[in-house]
Amino acid sequence: MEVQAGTAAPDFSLGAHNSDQKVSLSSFKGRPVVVAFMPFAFTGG
Amino acid sequence: MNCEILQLSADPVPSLKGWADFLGGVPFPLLSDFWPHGAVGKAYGIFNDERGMDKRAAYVIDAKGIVRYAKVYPQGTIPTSEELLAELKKL
Repeated sequence: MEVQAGTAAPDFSLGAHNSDQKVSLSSFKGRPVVVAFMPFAFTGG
Repeated sequence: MNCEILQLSADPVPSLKGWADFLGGVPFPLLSDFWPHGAVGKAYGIFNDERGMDKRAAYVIDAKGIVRYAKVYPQGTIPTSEELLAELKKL
């Protein structure tokens, strides 16, 4: 089921291109976050 | 604007590094939803099982971790930053 506005954002902790540490959504609490998903890299943005 | 941007895809980290280099650097984290494959995309309900990749989607999440704006884009559409900025300004 798709996440809808008004619900808690599912947390995640993932490897990043620019860090050896995993980046988790919950570490940014206190600031707004834009989370964007894309299909594969090199496929038009 | 005081917000964080996180870009996710089902690519492994080395692909994301290569892509960032190709683009001349990316100022926000590109995150790898590669393994378990697409697990975060599945948690958000936007994983494309048929093609094995995340769909294009954008979320504005407020300081408390609540989704304030959610949009899934048809294949081939690129989100514009204006609509996301407009949502951020409402917070």
